[in-house]
Parts: sequence; C-alpha cells; structure tokens
Amino acid sequence: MSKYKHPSPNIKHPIFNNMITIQNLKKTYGNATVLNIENLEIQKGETFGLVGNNGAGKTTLFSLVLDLIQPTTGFVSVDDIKVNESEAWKNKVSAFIDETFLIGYLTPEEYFYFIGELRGQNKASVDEFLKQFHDLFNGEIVNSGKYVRDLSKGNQKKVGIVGALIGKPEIIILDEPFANLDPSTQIKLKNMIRDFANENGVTFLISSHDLSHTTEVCNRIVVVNKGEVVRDIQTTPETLQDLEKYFADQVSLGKQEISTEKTSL
Amino acid sequence: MFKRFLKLEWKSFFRGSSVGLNLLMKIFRMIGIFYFIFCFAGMAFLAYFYVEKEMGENPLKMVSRFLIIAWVVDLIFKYIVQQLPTQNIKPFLTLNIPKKVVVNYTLIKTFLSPLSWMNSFFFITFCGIMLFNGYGTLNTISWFVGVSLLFYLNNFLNFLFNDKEKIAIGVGVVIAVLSLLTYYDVIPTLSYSETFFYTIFEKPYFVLIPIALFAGLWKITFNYIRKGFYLDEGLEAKKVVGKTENIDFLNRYGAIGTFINNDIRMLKRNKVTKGILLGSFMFVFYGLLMFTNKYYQTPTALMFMGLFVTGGFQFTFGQRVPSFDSAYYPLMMTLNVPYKEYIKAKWWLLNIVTVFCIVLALFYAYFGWDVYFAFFAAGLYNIGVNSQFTLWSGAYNKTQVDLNLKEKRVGQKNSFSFKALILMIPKMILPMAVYGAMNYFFGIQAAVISIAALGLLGFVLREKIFDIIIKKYKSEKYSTLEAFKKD
Repeated sequence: MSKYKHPSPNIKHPIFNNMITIQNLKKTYGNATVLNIENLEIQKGETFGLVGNNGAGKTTLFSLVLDLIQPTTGFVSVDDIKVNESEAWKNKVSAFIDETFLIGYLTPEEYFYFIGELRGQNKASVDEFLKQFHDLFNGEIVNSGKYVRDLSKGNQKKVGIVGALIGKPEIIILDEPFANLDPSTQIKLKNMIRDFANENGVTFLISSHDLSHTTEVCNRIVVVNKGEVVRDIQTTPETLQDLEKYFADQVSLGKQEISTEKTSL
Repeated sequence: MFKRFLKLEWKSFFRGSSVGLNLLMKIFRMIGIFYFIFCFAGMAFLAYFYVEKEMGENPLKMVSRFLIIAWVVDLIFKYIVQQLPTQNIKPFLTLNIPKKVVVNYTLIKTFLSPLSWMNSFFFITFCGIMLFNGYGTLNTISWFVGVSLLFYLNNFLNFLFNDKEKIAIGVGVVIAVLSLLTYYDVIPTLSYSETFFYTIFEKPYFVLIPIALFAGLWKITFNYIRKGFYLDEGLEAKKVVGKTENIDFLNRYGAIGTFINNDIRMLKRNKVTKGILLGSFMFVFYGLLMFTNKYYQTPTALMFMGLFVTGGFQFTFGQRVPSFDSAYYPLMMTLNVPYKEYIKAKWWLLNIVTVFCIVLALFYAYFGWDVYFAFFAAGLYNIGVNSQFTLWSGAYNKTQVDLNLKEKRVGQKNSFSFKALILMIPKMILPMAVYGAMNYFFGIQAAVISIAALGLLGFVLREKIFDIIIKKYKSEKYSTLEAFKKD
C-alpha cells in the first residue's frame, strides 16, 4: 500500500547480545494479516519505542512477545529461548498492557506484594522499593483504603506500571504508558524510565501514539504501519521532526488516494 | 421511545459475547421457563380442585389464606436474585431523552424479567377456573388485579431496600419473628391474610387499596431513583473501604502460599465468590435430605450425598478455576510462575476446604456412624481423586466470570461442556458404584476402605495427573485467553 521508501530496517549491533529476537513473525486472522515482521532484534539495555497508528499491530506484537497469542508463522525468542516453547522467559519479563494485568479486588499494596512475592521480593523490600514512587502516587494510591477496581483510570495505570517495575525484571513491556496520565505524571514517568534504563540496564519496550514522548525516552524507534516495520531508527535530535513528517506524509498520501479514487469514478 | 429501548434490550440479549456459544443454554433456559409456567398453571388446578374435592373447603379462601406466605417468599426471592438494571442506563443520561422516561423505563424493565411475571400464571389460571365455576366476574377481576399488584409491588420494595442491608436484616428479623408467632398460634397471621384477600373478592371496591399502594410506591420509587440519578449517587456502584490483609504463615510456602492468600482475598471480597462460599456451606447440610426419603439411605445414595457434603466447595469453585481469574488472566500468564504452581495452589485451597467440610460433617455421626463413615470416605475420595479431576475439567471451562456482578445463579451455569460431563464418570459414578458394590458384598468396612484406598491412590499419583492437567491447560491457553477477553 504505502510506497514510502524507508531505510533498511535492520541495524545490527554485533557487540551487544540480543535480548529479544523476532524472526519471520506473522499473525493473520482469516485473510487479514495484522502483523508481518521479517526480522527484528532488540538489544540488552535498549529503550525500544514502538510507534504507529491505531491498528498498526503494536499490541499484537507485544502480545506475541508475551506469548499471549500464537503466531501464524515465525517466532519470538527471549535470550534465544522461544517464548512458546519454554516458560523461562517469564523470569526476565514483566509487562503492563492493560487493565487485565491488574487484580481489581486487591488493595494497591496487596497487588504490589503479590507481584513482589512472585518475583522473589519480600514485603519489606517491596515497601522500600515503593518509597521512590511516593511522589508519583500523590497520596492517592498507597494506604488510600481503596481496592484497585475503585481507583481512577489514571491511578490504575500508575499501579500497573509500578507493578511491572517491581523485582528488577530485565525486560519491561509497557503498552501506551503515557495515555490517560496527567502531564506531571507523564514527565515523572519519563524520568523514571530513563533512570531505570541507565541504572539497571533494563530493556524497555514501549508503545505509544505520542511521538514526542517516545522520542524523548527511547534510544531506538520502530514505526509500524499496517503490521509492517516501515522505519527503524536510532534516536537523534532530528528524529521527532522526521517522524512527524512521516506521519504528515501518510495523511496527505491518504487524501491523494481518496481524490484519485474520486476522479477515477 | 420505549419501543426503541426494548430494541436495544433485544440486541444486548442476542449480541452478548456468550450467545453464539451458548445458544443451547438459552434454549434450555426457555424450556425451563416454560416448565415453570406449566408448573404454576398446574398448581392453580391443584389448588382449586384438590381443596374443593378432597378437603371440602372454599378454594379461594384457602388460597387467600396462604397468599401472605407466597408474597413474603416472592419478596425474599426477588431480593436475593433480582438484578437492578441501574448500571446499563448510564449511556442514556446525556442523550436527548427526558430523565422521567429513563427512570420509568428502569422501573418497567424489572417487570419484564421472568421472575416477576412467572407467578402471574398461577393467578391467571386460578381466576380462569374461578370464572368457569361461576364466581362473580367483577369480584374475580378485582381479586386478580389486587393480588397481582401486590406481588408486582415487591419489585419497588426491592428497589428501595436493595442496597440497605440493615433494613433488609431488620425486615428479615420481623418476618422470622412473625412466622414463629404464627407457627405457635400466637398471632393468626394466616386468617388475617384470608380476611384481607377474601375481602378484595367480596367487596371489589377494596381493590382500591392495592391500587393505591402500587401507585404510591411507584411514585416513591420513582422519586428515589430520580433523585439519585447522577453518576456519583444512585448510579455509582457502592465502594467498600479496602483493607490490606495477609495470612502471614502462608508466605512460608512460596508462590503457592502467595496464590492461596490471593484466592482467600478473592473469596472474601467479591459478590460472586461470597455466593459460592455460602452455597458450599449449604452443601454441608445436603445430607439431611436422607430423612426425606427412604431411597436416600442406601449406601450408594449416601456416597452420592457424601461427595457433595464434603465437596460442595470443590465442585462449585474448582470447576471454574481459570474462570475466576478471567479478569486478569493475561497477568497470570506472564507472571514468572510455572503453571504447575498455579494449579497446585488451587489444589491446596480446594483440599483445605474439603478437610474443613469433613470435620464440619462430624455432626452426621449423630445419625449413625455408618453415615459419617460414608461421608468420610467420600471426603477422602474428593481430596485424592476429585480435586484433580475438577481442575482438569476446569481447563475446558472458558466462561468469563465478572467477579463483582451480582450473579444470577439461575441460568448462569452456561459453562456446559461435553468433556466436563464425561469427567463426571470418575468423579461421581465410580465411587458410588464401588461403594455400593463393596458394601453389598463385603460390608461397610470394606466399602469405606476401598474408597479411601482409591483416594490414596489418586493422592499418590497426583504429580502425574498434574502433568496431564498442565498439558491440557497449556494447549488451551490461547483459546482461553481469547475467550476471557472483554468485548
């Protein structure tokens, strides 16, 4: 469909070891191919941003990485182990995709302890870990006397994101982390992600509609469109402009297509 | 306007996510409804002719006499089962529809549920017979209208008191006291009932009383709902204060302890699971049925009852094991816990409760030790064998459970699956057959021992069976995730 010429999608860094490898990954529902990625490698410590319009396949890709859906062909492997063959990847990966990753009938503390205990932490270390988010929580989450299901959408999101950070996972997957958050929290979240990536060498996979947030946080950005990787770039100061131009071109391209259809009628 | 609303209802019924799969269940439900209609109509014939021919009494007087009981039962039943449709009217709030219409729609909608109109079939049939047998037309109609309005007015009472537990408890106490006083003939409630309802028949203008009550309560309920018709008032789901709690000693058992802790919180904090807990407690007393019929006292039947007495929780909770976690199943599938630990935690929870039930069932020893031994053996079988088969059949159960919805227990069991049905054979039939046969040939000791031995065998082989179950769960994983997705 899109005739946009893009640079080669595979930039290899042989010095780093690949954390996540995606090979010939394809997902089709009936006749519709929602995702088709030939090859994608994500290095350890990379902050990987996934950008695209609605229906571009971002959540599908994450769901495939998390082995929540089955690929039609191809595979995803974490540390050279295919995710649908062994459960070993679960030790390294944590994720917050949507509210189905929250347990509504728990208080936020209980949720954090639950996740923490399964990630080998005890109550005290979880409490210690949560201290740094005091500011982010704004007094509305811990000791609020509310169950997660009764929190506002934004606060639920905070709970989910912080839950995904507990216990030093090596890979953290966040789907649309900036959506539904207030401006201050967005800024705090960006700082948090950068700190985590720098201090602990965590690999982040973040999807977003928001180009400026993504370019600020991520050191590599992949654009998907209709299930295919159309751009794969290392972030530079010009990246934001570049991306904005890409999407603007897409829009005008769409308009042209419509007008040509009209004239041909 | 109402026509359009009804169209929406129709669509929501047929386009619900479970429809395609569960059309069969819907058909069963229809059959059930017809069955009950038939029963109610049949009861009317029975009430009329049995009373007249066999007892030589006036059927209308007799029915009037017991109507008060029927009315109270109707009220209690509606309070427990009926769902109030306040939640799904939110989208109408900002549309160009007068609030008056929406409120009335909410009220009228409660009349449309089969629970509301089912009992009318009794009254319609009964009045039909009355007319046929020469009762006055005007009198009969006024009796019918009066009685029907009194029954339908329960819907309003239910609306007014549904979220006021204290009042409900108060009313419950009053009803209990009144029924005791009636039972011991202190207050002749029944003859009051007879006088009241019969008067409506005798003097048709008395029908104005129920009409006035109905209209008045409609107005009151209307105002009540109208006043709270804001998102932060009547329409908001009630919030409870969250308390952080933890059973510390369970933490010693690693991931399994964590999961059990979590499940206990789930059981305590959700409406559906609270219902399950209550239900499984009631199952402990299921064995009391044996005093209603001689047939129930055969060893095979005792075994059957024993399986339910000790395994009520196991059957009701265990069968829907992944379903209860459906709201956050993707989380469960990505946490760094092997499947086995997850299943094992459920297994422990089931068995802890089963042990508890076995101890609780000790009171059956009062009726003879052989009764308790049968139940005890059944309990061991539940622990050793059934706990695993129940979890196994859970793998095929892909019904989403909305934990905090007041579940209509009737008709909700649409988790019908043929495979689950086949698994009933080792669960129920095998122990019953073995127990019955062993008891027949070798006596009760041998029967208890052989069932216990089967339980022990299952217990010893549990790791092997877990492996099979886990394989099933894994192969069903993706379709389960898909089914649990919210639409």
